[in-house]
Amino acid sequence: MLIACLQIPRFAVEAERLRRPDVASRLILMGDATVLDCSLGAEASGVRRGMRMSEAIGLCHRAVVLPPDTPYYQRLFDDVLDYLEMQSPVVESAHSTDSGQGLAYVALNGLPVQVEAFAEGLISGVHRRSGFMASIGVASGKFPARVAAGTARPGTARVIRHGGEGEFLAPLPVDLLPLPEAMRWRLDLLGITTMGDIARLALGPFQAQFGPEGKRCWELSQGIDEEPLVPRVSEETVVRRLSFHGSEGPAPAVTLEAIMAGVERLVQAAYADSLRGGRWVRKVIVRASLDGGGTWELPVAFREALSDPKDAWFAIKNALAKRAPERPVEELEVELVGLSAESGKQASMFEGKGKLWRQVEEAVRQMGVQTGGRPATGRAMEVEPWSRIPERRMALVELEGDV
Amino acid sequence: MCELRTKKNDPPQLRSLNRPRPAKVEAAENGVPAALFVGGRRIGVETVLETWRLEDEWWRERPVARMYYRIVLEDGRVVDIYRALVSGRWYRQSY
Repeated sequence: MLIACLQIPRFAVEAERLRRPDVASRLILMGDATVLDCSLGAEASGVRRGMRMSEAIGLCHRAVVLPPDTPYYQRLFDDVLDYLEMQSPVVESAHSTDSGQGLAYVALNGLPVQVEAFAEGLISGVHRRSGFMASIGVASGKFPARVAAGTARPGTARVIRHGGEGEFLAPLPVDLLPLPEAMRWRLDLLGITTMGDIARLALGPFQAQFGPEGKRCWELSQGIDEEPLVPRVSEETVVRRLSFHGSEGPAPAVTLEAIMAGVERLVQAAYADSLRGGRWVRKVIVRASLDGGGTWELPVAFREALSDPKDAWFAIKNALAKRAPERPVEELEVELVGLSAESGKQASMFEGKGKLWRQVEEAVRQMGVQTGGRPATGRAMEVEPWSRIPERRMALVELEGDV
Repeated sequence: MCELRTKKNDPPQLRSLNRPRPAKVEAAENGVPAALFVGGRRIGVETVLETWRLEDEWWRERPVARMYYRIVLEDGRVVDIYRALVSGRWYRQSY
């Protein structure tokens, strides 16, 4: 199977550079107590992933230290995957914050394309869409394609012809193989340093020494990788957002009560969304854009799927009280995931004030007829009723009348 | 049905109510309001009932620092106005 591997090295660092031009030319260390990722310049100064942050700062004291913002990186990489899925029907995401790489595999079989031109098209397409400079490796398996991508310069594609995988991999170090530490140590003792050294050995004795992992490494060293692509599962979700605005532009919500009021409103709105179609919800993810940059995320998985927003809000409220955003919130987002067809409990068809609400809807409709457009409507709610700042006490949530 | 906008559009906003509105105020030398312009008409301040200072959110880029005045206008209306101590501008806002 012909596979293209797209790789964006130091994905998190590059994502921060896109977001914050002020740090674009500086050395960057990412992490909290330990270094999760770092810029190439920092790496050249001796910084390594997993190193203690204090030690890393000692090596490059002029570096800027940034906290990791995983949800933001995931959103950016999802956008890259969306683009790749427009080019090929089978795309696997291998992105992980542990590796620091933005990594995806694209199946090329059956596509009526010229491989080199297609790969270069993918690189320029990703760059145009998201600003990332990727490299691509093309080979007849995931492993050789990944190694090819890793050895290609950013912005270029390296194509390994069918049957040439073993020759390509032979001079490369065994460190590129997915080896357990003990096996790596034993190979070193035996003086086996390149994949070519492994490939030249007979499979039987090698497998006898190293077991199933040895067989897998022997095959990979030959360029044989039959592991299939696992396409990304696109899940149907319902998303609602709101932003906090004051008299002079954005006014981040400072108190937990204000944040909770916003989340509660969003949960109700998301449950009322016609996209949910009466289905039950297994999980809710609450996200927030924080004042001064960065995001916060709180996934709340329910013990059983819930159809009633009040039940969902009860669970979310408790989780939110335990792990609230650590900084003021500029924007909130609630996503319902794991929509299931399970039914049994039927939510009330009308709210307690259903009649009153229908009257409001009718009034809105009539205003629309009179004015020849859709009037702006909203619902007033208490946010921080005790606030000393008058405009913080009540807020209007914009509604859109379907009239 | 009424519903919030979806993600594809602009996110709905939680807009604060009772926002301060810019006001044209004539102040005496000591900074106390002497007249308020309503609809372009100058109305003198008969008396200042109360003044209070509000300072909050000092940690933000634009801290809140206001001097409020509850005034009685010559036409008998009671109005709350404040002067933003950072910008020096006047606003009208019921407290």
